[in-house]
Order: sequence, then C-alpha cells, then structure tokens
Amino acid sequence: MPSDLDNLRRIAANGMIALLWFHVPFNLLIAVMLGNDWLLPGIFAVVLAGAATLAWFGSPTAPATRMTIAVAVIGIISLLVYQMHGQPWQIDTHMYYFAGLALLTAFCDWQVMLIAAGATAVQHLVLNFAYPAAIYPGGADLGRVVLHAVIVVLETTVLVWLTHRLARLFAVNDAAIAEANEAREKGHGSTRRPTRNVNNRPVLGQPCWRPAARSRPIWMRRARWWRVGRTRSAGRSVSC
Amino acid sequence: MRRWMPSLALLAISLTMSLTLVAAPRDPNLVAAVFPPWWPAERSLSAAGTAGAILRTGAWPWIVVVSGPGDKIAAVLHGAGAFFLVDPSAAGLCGAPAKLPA
Repeated sequence: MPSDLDNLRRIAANGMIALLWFHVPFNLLIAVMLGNDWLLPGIFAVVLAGAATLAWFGSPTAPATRMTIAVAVIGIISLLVYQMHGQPWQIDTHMYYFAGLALLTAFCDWQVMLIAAGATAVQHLVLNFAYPAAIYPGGADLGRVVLHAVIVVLETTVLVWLTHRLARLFAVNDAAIAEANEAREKGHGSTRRPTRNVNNRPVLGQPCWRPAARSRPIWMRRARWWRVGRTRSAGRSVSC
Repeated sequence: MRRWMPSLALLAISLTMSLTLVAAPRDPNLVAAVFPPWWPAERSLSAAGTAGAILRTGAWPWIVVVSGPGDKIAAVLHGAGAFFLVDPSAAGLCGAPAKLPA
C-alpha cells in the first residue's frame, strides 16, 4: 500500500509532467511572438519533456524520476529565458528559476532540490561565458551570476532542510499509523476493541463500552445482551 | 549514485542543446567555420578563403570567421573541409582570438 508521501510525490510528478508539456507550445508561442527561431528550441523542449515523461512512465515515484523531472523543469525554464534574449523582460524571467525550485519542493526530496540548484548554476555559468545574451540582457556579468548564485544557495539551503524534515515527518507518521493498525489487529493484549478508526470515525457494529462480563451483575448482562440482540435483529449496529 | 545518473545525463544533454542553440549562426553572411584541429593554420585559412573574406580567427587558428554571400557560404565551407559553422560571437569564447599569420 503506497504511503502518504508516495501519494504526494505521485501527484507532484503528474503535475510536473503536465507543466513540462504545457511549456512546449508556450515556448513556441513566445518564439513566434518575438520573431525568434522556433524549430530548434521547440525540438529541445520536446526532448526535455519527453525524457521526463519516459522516466515517469517507468516509475512515477522513483527518486531517479524525480531528479530527471527537476533537471527537465530547469532546462525548460532556461529555454524560456533564452527565448527572451534581447527583451527587457528577460531579467524578470529569471524569477521563474526561483519559482521552479519552490515548485519542486512538492516532491519532499532534498536530492531533487540539490540537483535542480546544481542544474541552474551550471546553466548560468556555461551560458554566461558561451552566450551571455541567452541569460542576461546587456552581456556577461560575473557579478550578477554571483548575486543570483547567492540567492539560489540561500533558497536551496532552506528548501533542502525543509524537504528533508518533511520526508522524515511523513515516515514517522506512516510508522505510527502502521503500529496503531498492527496493535488494533492483535488486540494488544486487551479484550476491548477500538471504537474509533485511524480517521477518528466510529467503528460501526461494535458496542462503545463492554466491560468484562464477570464484573457486571446478572441483570446488567441480560440487559446488555437484550439491547445488542435487538439492534442486531433490527439490522443496525451500535455505535458511539 | 545510480539514481543520479539519468538526471545527470539529461543535464549534459540540456547543456549540449543550450550550446547548440547559442552557437547557431544568426547572420547567414557572417559565420565562424570550425576546421579540423589538426590542420595547420595556413590550410584552415586557405580553405576559408575560398568562401569569402577572412575577418579573423577564433580562439584557435582552426576556427576562422568568414564573411561572404549567405546563399553559398555554408556549402562552400563544408566542401572545403569545415566540420560545422557557428556564430562568430561564440567563436572567440575561450580566450582572445588567435593572430592571423603574416
């Protein structure tokens, strides 16, 4: 049975794959609107989204899939920033890198945060020397790269810590629920059955209170037997 | 470590794609031709000279920036032995342009 964390990661992966494929036509639209070359960037967007989708088909919740999706998200954001070259808004599209890191937090996986931040840093460093206009308006600026890097490091440090803590909390929670369920199934050495399930809903079909039979006087035992018998015969269960 | 491999491979592919995008020539009349690195500078220059006017070399003497008619320059340079053509802004990246031989 998948844990709550697995379910959360599955939902996050589905959302990320949808977001990646949304960016394919979106990138094309931006390219056409700005009069840029659209064919090669379009093919590269399909490659990024396709690689992430292949990994997702293989195993939606595998750590490798999450990290592949993270690299694809950062790559497709870089394509968007590249499409904005020569535009005054290009520097504003850099905010998408920070938003991308925040989106990837939904995976609750510190390794995803680390590879996403690393991919962002490598893209910036390489393009700052290879073709600065692809990332910054106005040409190469190592100082700007350092400023962005410091902000990314700050954000990533907190997100790594947070995602690590979240994953641990999910694990502790799952273990506690499993332990409670096991104890309930075994009876935990008591004749008394739980009246509430793990969702704090009443367990139907059981009396709320059933003291040991010998501790009750005979009239009470009869009354109890009579009441339970009546409710059973009426097709209803006693609940709290 | 195995779990990191697919993402690192995709990162390498992504970087290659980015470099391919930024290296594509933007002006068809002005390209940087990348010749085999083992060619002597004279051979690269003479091959580039068949396509148009030589403006300068790139970071290495086997990268030559050529200006010429956009409809023929690519075919002529490929025919002369150029591996591929890149934008001149990406040709002088890793250091100062090499000096033309006298």
